[in-house]
Amino acid sequence: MAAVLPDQVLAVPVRRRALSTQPRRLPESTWGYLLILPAVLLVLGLILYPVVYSGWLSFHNKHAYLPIETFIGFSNFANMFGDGEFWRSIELGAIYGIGSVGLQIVVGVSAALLLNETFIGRTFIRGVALFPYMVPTVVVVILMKWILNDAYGVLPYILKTIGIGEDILWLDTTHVMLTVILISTWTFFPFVVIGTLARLQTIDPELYAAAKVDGAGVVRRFIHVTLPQLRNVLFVVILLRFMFMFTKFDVIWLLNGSSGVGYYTRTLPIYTYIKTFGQLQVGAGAAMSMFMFLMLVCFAMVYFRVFRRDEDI
Amino acid sequence: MRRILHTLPAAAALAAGMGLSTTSLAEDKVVTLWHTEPNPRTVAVMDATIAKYEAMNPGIKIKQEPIAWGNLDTKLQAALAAGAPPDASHGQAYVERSLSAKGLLVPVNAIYDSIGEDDLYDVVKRLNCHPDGNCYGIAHAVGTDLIVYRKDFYREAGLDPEKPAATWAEWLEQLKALTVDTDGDGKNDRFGLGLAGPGFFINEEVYMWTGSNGGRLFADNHRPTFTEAPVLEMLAFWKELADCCLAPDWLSHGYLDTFAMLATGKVASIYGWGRGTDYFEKYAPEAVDAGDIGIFPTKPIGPSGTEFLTQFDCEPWMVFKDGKHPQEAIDFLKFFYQPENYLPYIQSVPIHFFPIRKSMQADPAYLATAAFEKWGGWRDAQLNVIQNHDPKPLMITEWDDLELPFVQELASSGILIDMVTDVVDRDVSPTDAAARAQERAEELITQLGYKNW
Repeated sequence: MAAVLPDQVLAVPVRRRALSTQPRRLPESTWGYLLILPAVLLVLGLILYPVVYSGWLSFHNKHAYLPIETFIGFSNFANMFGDGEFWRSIELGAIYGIGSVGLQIVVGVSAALLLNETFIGRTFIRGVALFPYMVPTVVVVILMKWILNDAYGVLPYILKTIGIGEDILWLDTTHVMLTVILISTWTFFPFVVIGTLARLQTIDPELYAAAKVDGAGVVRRFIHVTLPQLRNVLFVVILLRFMFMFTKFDVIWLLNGSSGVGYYTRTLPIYTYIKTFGQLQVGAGAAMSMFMFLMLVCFAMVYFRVFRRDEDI
Repeated sequence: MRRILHTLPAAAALAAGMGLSTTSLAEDKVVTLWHTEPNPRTVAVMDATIAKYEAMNPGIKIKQEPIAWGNLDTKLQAALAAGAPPDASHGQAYVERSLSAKGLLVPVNAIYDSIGEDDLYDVVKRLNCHPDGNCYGIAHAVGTDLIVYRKDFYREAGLDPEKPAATWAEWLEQLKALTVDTDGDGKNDRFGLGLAGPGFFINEEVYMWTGSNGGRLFADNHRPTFTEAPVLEMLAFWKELADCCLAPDWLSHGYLDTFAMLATGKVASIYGWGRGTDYFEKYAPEAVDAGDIGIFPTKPIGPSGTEFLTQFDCEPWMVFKDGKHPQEAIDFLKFFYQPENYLPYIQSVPIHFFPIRKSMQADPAYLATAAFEKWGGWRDAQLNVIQNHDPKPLMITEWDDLELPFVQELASSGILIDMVTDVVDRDVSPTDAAARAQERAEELITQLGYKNW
């Protein structure tokens, strides 16, 4: 049947075959959009959606697991701003954040300076220095509770034996904030060590040699050579660590809970949790978390404005 | 290389086979149970019961997850908020009432029927069976909170170790005498009373002491009564107690710490439960052998009270409507309460757990429980309280309070705990602390939509 058809008719399917063997090319821009689509979806789904949903909840009276959901405008925010416990939680969060970050920076930079020196067993010690950061928080807190317990803890026992600080009750209401800051410092200072040590290893030794020639001692070399070189790293590390510590939940919750002695470490994340899952007021909890989010954004902006120098970053 | 390639499929098959033998198949129904008995003996007994049940019911796997009491409320609430509750869980009586009022539980009448109502104590039915005839929980066992003390320390202080204090005033005098400096350094190192500091346990003392002082936590119209005289007197008593006779850092002591402190002589008495026997046998064997661990059969009464109130431990199993397999959970619990499974469970913590089945009290196998030889007095003291002194569940000063739908939220809010610590630790007057707590509680109840006054 095909043999009797005219040539031009036969030619059509041939042309089609030729076309089908060549893949149709998408415009480059379309490819670009397609390739970033998974990332965009991830960002939208995992970051933007929770933030937007939290914002939506903050304008509602929403019970944690009952279908009670009433739009109440800014009432949650008004209640929050009129709640003394809320302001107290911010104050405690600031004390905890500033105290623990300050100590982490001091300890972390000091440790990095030591680990940057040459000595026998340096590699091993570097590994050991990172150990606290690798231990799960729950293990750290349980160990610390045992170590610090006034009835059977090893630290009070040692202090009593050597006659120093035997009256310190590490977990009582007077010292519990200091204790949680120290535990957090021990756990998280390796983060500072990693960043600082990496930067220290890239500082040009000639800078130190030149400073030495100019008569600079150890302290002046640290102030005029090392610190300026670390500035960019510390800028980022301080910003990140403060945001991490201000929103820190696990260490404080596991050590103290939210009440009793926990009253003295009831930071904003802890208070938000109590509002949401203790009092089951999800809307009120969402308002607090939105405030926390906006507050940290503002903090980051101010921090950048005050400390950032464009030519450095 | 070829040999390795040949052995890989066999190794994979072996690994898969091993995996199948130890974990559930994809099509198995996995029933999740949360319970508050993490001690190894109970977990082992539950494992054995689960193994028997699974062998009889192919395709069903039971997964037990032990959780500490103090953490259960908030974990459960977080799970419910996430829409992912377990199939069944222990809980406080007020939690059962709160959740059933919100339509989150399924009735477990089938379990009552399988046991037989005549074999259950009335109080068990009263706890979880509602006026409409539906029962939304069933106690796994019962017990009561009592004062546990060291007789040797009482004798050292010149006190009669067999005579419980009748009033708070008498009790304070006893505790003052028991608070002593044992090493002569001028500082007290043994305290009259050890209390647990986490919030859950402060809630316990608040309602027990208020009840023992003739008070209540809620009025008939559901309004909190924190500013009434019995609560104020309770707070003043707590302050006096803390100043004279509690360890300075008692708020940081966990529940198990108090057992350790009694065993090691850091405190002379505690509020405790029968599960403490293991602790004392392990850490204070001399005191146990000498018969120096005592249990008072009564508790002191406050100035406005006429009868003491102590806690009735009666955590019910609850089955969740939004669980994955609620009916299978009920079926397992019917199996759990069968005498041959229930007896080993009770015997895993024999002094703390009283069986809810009447028939078991006369069962020779139960009566032959080895621990009764040494600790029978503790068991008898609890039995006396259950039969004669109307113990009540946590947060419940009046039986009608069980019907209040907001007790769970109030208990988890920290408001009562802040009220106590305001007075005890921050020198706020009882009147001011109670007024603040009252205001916060009223605000919470109003925001939850349960205001009825």
